[in-house]
Amino acid sequence: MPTAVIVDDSPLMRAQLRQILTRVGATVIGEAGSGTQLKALYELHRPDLITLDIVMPGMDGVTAALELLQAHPEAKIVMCSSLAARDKILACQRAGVRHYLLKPFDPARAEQIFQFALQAPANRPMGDAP
Amino acid sequence: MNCPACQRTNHPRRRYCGGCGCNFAPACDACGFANDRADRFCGGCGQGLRAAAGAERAAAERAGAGTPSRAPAAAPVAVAPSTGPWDPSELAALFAPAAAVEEIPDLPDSGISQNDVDRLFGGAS
Repeated sequence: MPTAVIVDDSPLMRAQLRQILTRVGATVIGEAGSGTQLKALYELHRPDLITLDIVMPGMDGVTAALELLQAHPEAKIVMCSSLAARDKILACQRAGVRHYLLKPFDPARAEQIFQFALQAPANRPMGDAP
Repeated sequence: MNCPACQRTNHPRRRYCGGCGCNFAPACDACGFANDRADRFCGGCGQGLRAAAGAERAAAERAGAGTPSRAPAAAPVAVAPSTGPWDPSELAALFAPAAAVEEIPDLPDSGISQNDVDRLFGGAS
């Protein structure tokens, strides 16, 4: 069964994401309210999927995603944010983020996106040349 | 876009491979014109190019050493055009129409919707 970590400063949003992730068959094994905790959470649990908010106290989601993907390019991150800024979305895509879910979202669309990210092959770690 | 040397998937706008540093747009040594990797002759001055093979070789060497580098591939080397008779296959390659460029999905400057984002990231639409 796939595992997931939710990083969002809103407890309400975390609860909604937990429900959706459970519906796609994922077990939520960790939650955090700031990007500063993301790397430690990932290294502790090695989840199959991370949902990551952008505007949070402490480290923002884009910085946290860049930091994590630099160390662990195989990490599967789906950004979940109300921020529809072109430069932020493109920065996430270039960094290797798997998808970007705009809030407020349709739960059915969120399910599709989480399934898509879970089924996608892992990024090749840096330096792992064939 | 896949790197011809290490096969890593790169964003089409990249000039160098993120995995091995392979140069995707070798510049002509003689005039500095940025050519496509597949070009055999410079689009700026007509010099023969040996960049693609050189860059690939350099990238393959780096990949083989197992130490990824951010440094760009070795500078392309311009070579004198062949003085002998033209090989028909060389001529065909020279005048062949350029391969279709893959369209890069992009985002509007404002009013970005989930559909726009789905097009960029693929799947789940």
